[in-house]
Amino acid sequence: MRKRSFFGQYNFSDSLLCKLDPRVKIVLVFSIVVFLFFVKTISGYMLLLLFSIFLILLAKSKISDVFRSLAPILFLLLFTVLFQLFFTPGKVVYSFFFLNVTSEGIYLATYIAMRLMLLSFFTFVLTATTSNIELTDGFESVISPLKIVRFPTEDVALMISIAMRFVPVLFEEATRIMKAQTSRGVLFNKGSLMQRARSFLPLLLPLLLNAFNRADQLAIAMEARGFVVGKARTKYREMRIKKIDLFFIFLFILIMAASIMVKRI
Amino acid sequence: MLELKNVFVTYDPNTIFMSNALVDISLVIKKNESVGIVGRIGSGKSTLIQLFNGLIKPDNGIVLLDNDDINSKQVDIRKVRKKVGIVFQYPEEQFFAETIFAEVAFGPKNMGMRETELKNAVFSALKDMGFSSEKIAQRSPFSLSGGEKRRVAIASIIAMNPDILVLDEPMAGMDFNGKEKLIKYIKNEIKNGRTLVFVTHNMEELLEIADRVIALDDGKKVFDGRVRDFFSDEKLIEKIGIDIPSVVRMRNRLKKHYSDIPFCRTPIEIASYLKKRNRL
Repeated sequence: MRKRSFFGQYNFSDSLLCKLDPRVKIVLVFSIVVFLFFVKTISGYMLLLLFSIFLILLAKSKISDVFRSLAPILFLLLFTVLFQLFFTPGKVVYSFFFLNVTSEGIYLATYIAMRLMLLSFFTFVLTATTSNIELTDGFESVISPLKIVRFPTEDVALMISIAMRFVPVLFEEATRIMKAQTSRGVLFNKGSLMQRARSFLPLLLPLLLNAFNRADQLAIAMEARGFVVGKARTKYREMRIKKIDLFFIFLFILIMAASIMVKRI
Repeated sequence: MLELKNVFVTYDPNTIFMSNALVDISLVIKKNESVGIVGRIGSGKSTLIQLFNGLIKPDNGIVLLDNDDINSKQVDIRKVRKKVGIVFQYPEEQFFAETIFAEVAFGPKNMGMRETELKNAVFSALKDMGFSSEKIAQRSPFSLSGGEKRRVAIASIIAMNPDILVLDEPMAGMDFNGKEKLIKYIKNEIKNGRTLVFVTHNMEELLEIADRVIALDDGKKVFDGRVRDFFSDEKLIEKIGIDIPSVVRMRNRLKKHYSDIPFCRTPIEIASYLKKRNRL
């Protein structure tokens, strides 16, 4: 079978970031992503960009993987950059037919592009250094205060982990069904839009049906191993905050503070 | 006639997942041959059959069907897929239609068959697969048992009337009854001049159906020849991790005492040989 690497796929390494407590990573990345929207200067973003590059290097990720992680937002990125570039009123620096590039436009475009890229880089660092199990365990723990309002945090975490576990399985199955239907004369990438849409029915229906069957089997298998809905579960991996976690919390706060302060210098 | 010339297939080149699925494979499958493809899991069997109708393009080398390169732009790939019908492993997982008729008609319809021609093709395919009553065609394919589903799935390929029928482990997970029907059909088709290629792990099946064996090991072709020659090369069989069928083992043991024993495919053949010999 042909293996594919998904966007931000976890790749195991002995890097420091893999050893961090997943809860800490989730909270830190989440807060820095929210924080991005409060930074008002390009110099602040420059600092954050350097920091994200530092993290990526620390995560021992390949640069090509990092850029591939930009692919899903590439269209959004290009669109907003071009829009800002051409349609921001201000001092004209360059004229191209009816389009005017203003210095304010250049500034805004760079600003928005950096913000989007940083968003993607920080989430990349999280998903590249945290396994699915760690992510859901961490997520479950982070949202556990919601138990007070009777929110089923454990069930939600389980649902997420099952969903993530089956993404590659479904992907592989889709490829398989696609090949089978291709052998029966379906051409998936030819014809009008309507024809193409219709040709996906023989792909999507079996995929959906098999997914339901698999869900049934999974439920039986889980119950056969003693899983009871709503019962308290024990953890195989205990999460503990270590010194290195505290160090990274401190580092993140420092960087965030610095990037806010930098405009005043 | 299907011909592969020096075909290489590499998965995920330039990544850590890179693997050579097929290495320098050349072979010719002539009309009305019955070819069994064997080898352990991951030896490249599935990759090989996917080359036959252009689902996978070779990274190097060419695939010729009736002397046309199937991956060239001049060739209509649909015609290739009509000529080479591939039934994949667990083909019942591809079902989506409301009735068995619609399911079986899907392939031939895509190939341009209509009305009476289509109807005839569907019903004769179903009949070939052992569904004698036409009533069954209006039932849902999901209401069938596992073995019946498999036979409907195979019928959906046969209905396209391919010159070369390629089956990927057709008997896997089937009950005795279904297997018998399928084997009967396959033997009949070979008699009628159809070319058959099938992948199998079951040596009894290989012995029963195939004339010729292609053995793959680690993406390389390690054997291509008659079934009887394959089973007499015990060293090779051991190397590629295949179980020798008990009939062959028995025959090889008997050969020590009866040096003139011919190659036998079934226990009945051995028995009749012994009977004849004792009478002498």
